[in-house]
Amino acid sequence: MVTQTKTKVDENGDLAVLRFEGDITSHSEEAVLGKYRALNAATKKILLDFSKVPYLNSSGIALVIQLLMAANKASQKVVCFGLSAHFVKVFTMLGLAKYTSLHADETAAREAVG
Amino acid sequence: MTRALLHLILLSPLLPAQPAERSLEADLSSGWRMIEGDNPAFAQAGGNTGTWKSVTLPVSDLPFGMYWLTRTIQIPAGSVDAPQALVLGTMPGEYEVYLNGLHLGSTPNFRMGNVVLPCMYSFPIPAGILRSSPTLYIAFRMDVAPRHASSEVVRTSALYRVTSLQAAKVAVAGEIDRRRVATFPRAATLLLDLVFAAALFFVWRNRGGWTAALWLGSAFVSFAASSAIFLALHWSTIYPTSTDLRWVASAEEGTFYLGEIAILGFTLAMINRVSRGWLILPVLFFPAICAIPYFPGRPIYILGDLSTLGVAGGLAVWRILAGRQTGAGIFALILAFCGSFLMSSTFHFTGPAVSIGPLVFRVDNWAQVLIGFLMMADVLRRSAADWGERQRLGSEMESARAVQSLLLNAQSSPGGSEWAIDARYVPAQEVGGDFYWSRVEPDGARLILIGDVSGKGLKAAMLVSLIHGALERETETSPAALLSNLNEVVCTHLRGGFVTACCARAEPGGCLRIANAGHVSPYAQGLEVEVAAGLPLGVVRGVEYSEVALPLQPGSAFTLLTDGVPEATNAQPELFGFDRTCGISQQSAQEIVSAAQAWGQSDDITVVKVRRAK
Repeated sequence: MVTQTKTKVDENGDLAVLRFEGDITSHSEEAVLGKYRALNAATKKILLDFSKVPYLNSSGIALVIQLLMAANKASQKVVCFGLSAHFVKVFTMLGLAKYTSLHADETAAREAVG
Repeated sequence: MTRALLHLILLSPLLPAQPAERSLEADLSSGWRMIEGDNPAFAQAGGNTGTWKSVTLPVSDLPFGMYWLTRTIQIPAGSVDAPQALVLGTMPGEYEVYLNGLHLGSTPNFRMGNVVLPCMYSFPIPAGILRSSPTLYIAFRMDVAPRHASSEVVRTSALYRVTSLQAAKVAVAGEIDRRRVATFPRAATLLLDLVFAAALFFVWRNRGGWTAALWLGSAFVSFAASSAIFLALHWSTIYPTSTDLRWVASAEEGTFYLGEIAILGFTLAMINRVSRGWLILPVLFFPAICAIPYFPGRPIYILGDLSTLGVAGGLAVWRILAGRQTGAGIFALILAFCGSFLMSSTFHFTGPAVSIGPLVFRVDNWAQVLIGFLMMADVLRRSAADWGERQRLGSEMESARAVQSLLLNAQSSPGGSEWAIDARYVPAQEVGGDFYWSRVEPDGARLILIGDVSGKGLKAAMLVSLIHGALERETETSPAALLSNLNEVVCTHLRGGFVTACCARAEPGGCLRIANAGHVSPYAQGLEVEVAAGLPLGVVRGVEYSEVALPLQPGSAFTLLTDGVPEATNAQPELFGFDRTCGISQQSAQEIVSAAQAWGQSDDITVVKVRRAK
């Protein structure tokens, strides 16, 4: 059963953490892009927390890619953490390394984003 | 013993005839004195009733309150030896009867609330009373209270007599028979309610789960149950006096109120995007409605009304003021008032009735049937239109599926190359966003492309058709260049989403050149082929893809598939995953599809097996 996506946003200076919870699907536009667009204009570093996301379908991945493209255009650095091994492989196959990096946990992600 | 009985039977014609019993016959319809108020002393003869109001039975239009009615009749000396009884027809309230100060009995539920079951009652007169006094002082202590109006559908006969017990029994039995016939129309409304409910449940069950039909059908069942309780009361042989029947009235009102809640649920179902949570308010009132017979008085009726009228009416006004679905809002408002009217007419007032011969038709019952019929007709009309539209869309989707199937199956033809294709495509819906394409080059090489449009259904299928058209026009023979060109096409037409694709060129001599645009890597000889990751098609323009080369021996094969295989999900839910996919990658295309389906198909599944001839 597909669950509703919830997003908790933690903002601290130029760093924002988008903590997703639930499946990310075509119904998650507000939870992914909506929350991204509502971030403080001063945000330069973004962490995407997928540790409570059991499943992303292709439409959900499309939303993440749109976020990455928009952040790239706005010269914001995005790193992801908490993805399951399956979706680490999917993100890798999608060739997203140019736009983001994938990390096991938040500590590693914070270190990567600097 | 048997012999004695036989003697008695044989000799009985020879026994002397018994003299006929003498009975007192007196009409009690006139000569009554009535006073408003309550004084137990009025049960005894000897009071001054000269100032009391002179009335004739039946008395009507009395304000709510307690009343006493008295009159006296003379008993001829030695003239009565048959068992006698009082026969009393319609009265404006529940009452108890006193004869010469002796309490004779009372109607059901006297002083127990507002439940009134007007009927003809007979009260046997103790023989001692008739012998002990030449006069009979009759007193009624009467409570005129708000009535449970449904009980008044059949007007009780205006018959008031002192007569023989046998004649009284005959009169009451005749009255009950008349009541049964008179309530046949109510039985007809019960049957109509059940027919309507059956039609609506059929629509709900067989026409795509119309919840509005389920709610309305439930309302009809509730109304039918209420009618059944009513009829059970009115068709019963006789009511024992002083019996607490409030629980029956409570059940009748409760079931009718459940119908009101169902009508509200129907209203909410007709107004899309309104939470069913609104129903909690009238549900909370349910115990209060069932308690009405136990706590007489108008305020509790009004509370009951407010629960349905307030919720449905408030919702309707809100929808109208919000400027959304004005028509539905007005519809809900009308329903709210209709529901309120029906409740009011049932609980508060005696509904107007029309008599045709022995049959009595109560207007509010038939108004409920008429309004219900119109609502049902509207639901049936809408569901029929919706069903027709679904059938039409289903037919068009079937056509689209057939066209897509033709497009894809055309690629499976093996001729002209040493590379043969075995492909399977199973969309999750009628049509899907997976696709594959193949072309044999003039040099005998075979170009194979597998792809997956993000999303499912018709929108994805339309993009697949567009990509197919672009591929048919494509002249590029290099997998990487072909993907770059296709990316430009997709970027031009795609608004959101992406397309993953993997393209392979299987050349004569066994060399395999592969480029990947974000797609699941191919498998060869039971291993995942290491390919350079590339962005999916449609994300950004100007992407260049790189190729890897892989030799394949004669007779060996490689497998291209979409994420419908590794992302098949079972009930736990657990993904099929890449490891299991790799493990079955050397099986045939059909076997791989079957394995994914057995695990739990959640997306389109496509498997293309490309085998080099031996």
